[in-house]
Amino acid sequence: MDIKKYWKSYGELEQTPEYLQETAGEFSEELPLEEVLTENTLGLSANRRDFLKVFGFSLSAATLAACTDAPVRKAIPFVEMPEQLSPSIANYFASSYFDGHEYASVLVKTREGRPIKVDGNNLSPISKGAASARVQASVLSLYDTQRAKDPMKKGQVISWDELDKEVMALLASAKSIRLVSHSIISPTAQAAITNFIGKYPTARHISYDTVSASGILEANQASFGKPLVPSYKFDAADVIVGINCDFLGNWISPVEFTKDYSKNRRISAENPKLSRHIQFESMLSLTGSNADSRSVFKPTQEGLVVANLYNKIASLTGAATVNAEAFEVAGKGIEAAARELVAAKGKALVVSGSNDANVQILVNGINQMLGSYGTTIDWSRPYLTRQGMDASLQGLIDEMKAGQVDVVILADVNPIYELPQGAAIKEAMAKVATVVCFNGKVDESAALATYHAPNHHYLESWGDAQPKVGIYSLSQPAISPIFNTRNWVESLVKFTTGNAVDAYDLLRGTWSALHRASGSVMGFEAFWRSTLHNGVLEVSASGTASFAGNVAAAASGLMKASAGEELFLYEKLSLGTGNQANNPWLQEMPDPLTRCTWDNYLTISKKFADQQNLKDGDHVKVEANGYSVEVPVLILPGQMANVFGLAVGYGRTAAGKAADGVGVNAYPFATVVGGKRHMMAAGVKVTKTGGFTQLALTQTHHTIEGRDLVKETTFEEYLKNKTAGNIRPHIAVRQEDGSFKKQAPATIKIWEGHEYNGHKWAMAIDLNACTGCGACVVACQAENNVPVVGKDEVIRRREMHWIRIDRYFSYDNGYAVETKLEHNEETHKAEKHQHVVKTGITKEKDYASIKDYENIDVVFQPVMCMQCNNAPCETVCPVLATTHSEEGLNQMTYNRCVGTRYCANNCPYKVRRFNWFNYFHNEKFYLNPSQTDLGKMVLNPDVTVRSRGVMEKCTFCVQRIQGGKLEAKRAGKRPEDGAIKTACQQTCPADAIVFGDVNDVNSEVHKLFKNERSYAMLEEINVQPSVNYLVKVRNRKSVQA
Amino acid sequence: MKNDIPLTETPICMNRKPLAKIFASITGLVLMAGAVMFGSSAQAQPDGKAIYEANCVACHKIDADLVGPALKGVTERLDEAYLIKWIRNSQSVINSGDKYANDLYKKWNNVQMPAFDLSDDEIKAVLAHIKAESAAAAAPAASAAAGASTGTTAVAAEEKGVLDNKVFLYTVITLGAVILLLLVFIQTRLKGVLDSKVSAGEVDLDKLEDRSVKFKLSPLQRLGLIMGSLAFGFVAFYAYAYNNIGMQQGYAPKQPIAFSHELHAGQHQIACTYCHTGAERGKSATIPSVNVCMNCHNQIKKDAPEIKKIWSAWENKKPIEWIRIHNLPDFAYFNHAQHYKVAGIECQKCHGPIQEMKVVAQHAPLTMGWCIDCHRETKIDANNGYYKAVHAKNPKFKDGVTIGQMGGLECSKCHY
Repeated sequence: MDIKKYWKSYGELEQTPEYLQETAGEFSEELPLEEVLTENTLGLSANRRDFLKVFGFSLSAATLAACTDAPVRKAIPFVEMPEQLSPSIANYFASSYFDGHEYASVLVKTREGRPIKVDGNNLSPISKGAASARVQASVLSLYDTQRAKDPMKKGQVISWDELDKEVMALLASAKSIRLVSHSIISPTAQAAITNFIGKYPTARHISYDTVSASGILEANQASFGKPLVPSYKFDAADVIVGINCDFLGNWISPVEFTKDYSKNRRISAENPKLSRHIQFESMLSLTGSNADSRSVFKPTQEGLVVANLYNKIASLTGAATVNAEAFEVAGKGIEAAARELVAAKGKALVVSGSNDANVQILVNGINQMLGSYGTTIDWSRPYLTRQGMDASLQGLIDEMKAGQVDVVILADVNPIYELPQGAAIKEAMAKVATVVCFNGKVDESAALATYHAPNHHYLESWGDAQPKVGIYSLSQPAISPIFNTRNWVESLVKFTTGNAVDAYDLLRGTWSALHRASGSVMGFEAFWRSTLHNGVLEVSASGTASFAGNVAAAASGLMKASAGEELFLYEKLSLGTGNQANNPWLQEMPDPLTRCTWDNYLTISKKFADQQNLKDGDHVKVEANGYSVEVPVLILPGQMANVFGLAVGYGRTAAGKAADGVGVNAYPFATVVGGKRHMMAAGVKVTKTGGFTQLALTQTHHTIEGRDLVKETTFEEYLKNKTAGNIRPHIAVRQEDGSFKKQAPATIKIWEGHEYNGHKWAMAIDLNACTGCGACVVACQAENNVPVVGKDEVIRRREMHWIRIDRYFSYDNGYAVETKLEHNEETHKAEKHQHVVKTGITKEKDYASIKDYENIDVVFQPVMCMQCNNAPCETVCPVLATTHSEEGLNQMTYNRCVGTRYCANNCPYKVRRFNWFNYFHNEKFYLNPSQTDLGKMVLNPDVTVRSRGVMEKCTFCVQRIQGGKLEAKRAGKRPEDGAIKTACQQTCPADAIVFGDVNDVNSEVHKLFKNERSYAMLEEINVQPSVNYLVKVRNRKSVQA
Repeated sequence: MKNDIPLTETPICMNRKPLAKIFASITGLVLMAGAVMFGSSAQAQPDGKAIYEANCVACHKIDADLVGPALKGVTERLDEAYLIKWIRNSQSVINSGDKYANDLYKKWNNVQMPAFDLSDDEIKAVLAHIKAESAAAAAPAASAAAGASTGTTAVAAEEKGVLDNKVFLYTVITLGAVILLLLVFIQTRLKGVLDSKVSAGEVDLDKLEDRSVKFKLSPLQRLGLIMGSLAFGFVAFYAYAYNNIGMQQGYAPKQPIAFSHELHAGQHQIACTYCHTGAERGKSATIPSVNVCMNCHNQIKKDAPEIKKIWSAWENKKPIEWIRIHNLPDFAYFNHAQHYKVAGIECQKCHGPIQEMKVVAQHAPLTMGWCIDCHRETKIDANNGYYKAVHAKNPKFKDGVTIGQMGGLECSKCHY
């Protein structure tokens, strides 16, 4: 059986001269001796010639130091120790995160009163213990030194009293007040807004969502009479079809969807069930890259795809079809999808990310035909996180333009940046007499405010949320406000009543009503305490809806497909809508698909690149919808030659030092039709400008020269043979008689090996569950004090992430029926014979013939230190800084390391990272958050901050292992399976990472190591890694002969 | 981390004397043994003593008034049922209008004794202990002196250690002096013999001098020798200096408040964890917050000058800035709960005879060698259910296995 070939970039696929040159050397460039020697850490400016002087200085300094007394260090206890707070013991507080886009119920870990980590709350039915990269990174945004620090009037600091007095006077005399916010899911904030409008009857509340779901809301209003987004049950669906819908990445509630979706992907012999996922999309999304089958179309063909899918299903189920131009994607994907959906009726689900109400009505019609309502779509708990209607936003813009608005209050929104109408809003806002802004930063919109009453960070404030009907959660402060800020709800109530209130009291007011409604048998105090502890409250909710949409009308109102080149706007997993753009963790997080950091770029197809003679980083000018930018290009498979992708969230101008000037703002490209915002543009002109930007790509770093690293099979093969695709290598060993004998690598030993009599820590990673979302990368960064190195250093391949998610592309490994003429031995005649042949591209020569840059398979593989039993790094360390533990850990002792980097050179998995600089002190790395006193607060005090010149790598979160063992010893029992979790495992929304003691026969990881799909990466070199992977299984139908 | 701390901040102490260290560690061991024995014999006492020490000693003494009255003979003065009621909730007894209780309450400035949630048996055990202690206090000298004797012996042992040390040094110096005198005497005698031989013409001095030429050095050689010796001196000095960087053994800074462990932990026998609450639960043993001091000192010795400092801190809500004595480097992880709670190690093992210290000094060197030595010698608690469950099949796991043998010397146990 041939092994499918995987590749990381087109350069690698085609073995271009540039690629070969880039990967020829062991290191990407010369050693930075000059820089290291001139590094300004000793307070001296030195060059190489001064090296000896510095050396001499250090010697004499040591002499001097050796003669002085110890410095006096203070130990300052509290005057009055707060209840339950003890130094060195972590406290956890349940809270809620909602940035107007993504909701999460979180658990905030605090040490000595400062939040250091945010994780998902496992009691929440939405977060289920997981958290996305952005939610986790929000703890760093708390310590952003560029947050708004004081209330201001036209850029001048004023007191809160002055601000309140002046704003209240203006409000009292205002003829027309508009309060603008994102969707309000907080019952307390909603009550405050209602009261505000009651006090000022000229006030109106307008809410919008940065990435609008207005199309779904309008469609559901028309179809069901409910302007809401229902709950989707991806775990109940056997066949899932997504149409430009990144539900695993950014759509509505991605973490919740990933949790559900992955349930049917973690296939095992006991539960050999695998959902089938078909994706139609315009550019490669995270969701599409996880799909079993994937087809591409142009953004404006969205309506055609949906209408044709509707018609195919309608004709299969005997329902009436709608008038639509016939359309089919390559490989008759729509027809195949329709058949499969109908076959899985009642267990099928179709979702679309379109913001066109007509498209969504047709999608509702499809789901109605498939019997999805009540099975895979649940109307009892619709989402409240998307409430913004595009029409009302447009109304506001028109009003402001006409000068009809006196006071605009911006409640934590940044419309000038995050809306395609930003420029128009900026113009219109100039006609508004008073702009009051609650934003937490002096951002693009707040800069224009007359009064700026800065809001707390969510980790500083009391609050609540109702993300879904009947599902509530509380927010509680995990730290006192760092700056002179005020909860915006408090500000609004102050403006309403003139009295200062505490958000805590407001909250208890709301919740005492909720307590009565919940029918809780507890008294209010007990109810309050238990809810605050759990963070979440579920009250029963019911609701059904019957479909009454006019699909025929919808079909006739669809947007027309355009002929020219089109632009698709998308959100990255890292920055999302860009509200946390000044977060260096997110900026440096590699995009799962492009593996690019610190930039946005125009994704183009290989075909277009060849036509225009473009290579990665070449600048192009993009023009559409009366807006243009110059932006570097990046070649990405999986999109058509006339479709381009551009991420929003970049190009900030007033977000802070990490964000400003990084990338370009893509929001203005969005098409606005009658106020409705579509994240796409037709009639795009892309022209080469001749400029060039080096993109900080990590995709070719740590490359492993095409060795057999990822393994996959098809579901069909798996059902026949549970070990399908799990091809184990053998070593041919020369025997005494000169013949060769196949032997398992483990039988050939050059090491003596280790005995593990107690614990043996190990990890299993299911390649079939991992969606590649990158939440683990940020989790690890927060847990292990991994520094941010900045774009330049990433280009030099010196990123410090301890866990990377390798992304491999490959071509379809399916089967096809081929007809051949064959010679019949008996009749001596040529006869036609049908053969099943594998179409999987396996050989170098086959690549030359490939011109298909649209259909591509993707595999994600998280790679961290494998904690090898026969670790090659350990044998080469001259100072024994890396040694083996009796529990199977490959220990890294920083204070012993002298930085020879032999270990990194000898590591077959390329997981070791070297501290080229003192990232925490060297001013060159000013983007590293720990350079400021405030940024240092986020550091985990249980993990050493590494200095220049030492090697580091994944430790399997040894601080958590040691902590877990201590708890077990205190309790006098074995640590329970799952009690010790690594940071990456804890946060994984797909539960793809399982860590535990493989010596404990009852542990999950022990079972997974016994799984037929389990394999060790590079088994042939017999380093015996402690991390095993589980073969990816694609649910792909093979052609029957 | 290395290079992370500017060199001038590196804590340095040069007071380690290798010889003294050996003696100190020997005496320290004797001391430890004493402390462990003392500790374990204390554990063997009936519950009453433990409960008494955990709950009562903060305010009561047997033979002297403290926050509350002296307890000597209380079991004779009052009947048991009354005392149980009183201990469990003194306020209810006072509220019941009981005259004795109200008089007592008034006499002690209306300081309320907190309620203790103890069972009848536990209170009875405490009363029995008080009774026994009262009797002991009544009997002149005998048992009270015996109780403290272990401590004094330990101190004597250490002083003796220092003494031995000095005697050894004097002996060496005396011996050296004797040898020197002897050598001078021999040299004089030999010179005398030589002179007599020369004058007698038996020896030709010129020839002798010729031979001595061999030992003459050229200027270059002389320079080399000087440079060599200097280099050796430097290397030796640096080896010594680097070996001592970060060592603060014996560091006993003057604290902002002259708090005496000798008084609190020694005389009043307040349990260490009464103040250092973190020792049972976490990495840090914690230095008590001012409110812990105020538990007692809102009554006791309010007017003493040092106590007034606590009051000032309390009233101004200004924390007391203690000088930190034990400074482990950031790259070494140490957890008090692991050692105190799990391993059951006495505080004194690392902190020395803290109950004797008027001013706390760093007892242990806190070097890695010192940590490792203890891990090599100390046996694990084989009765801990954790070891029984995890290491059941481990051939190394047998009686008397040390921490070191069970992986306690591995880097990642302390460095991550």
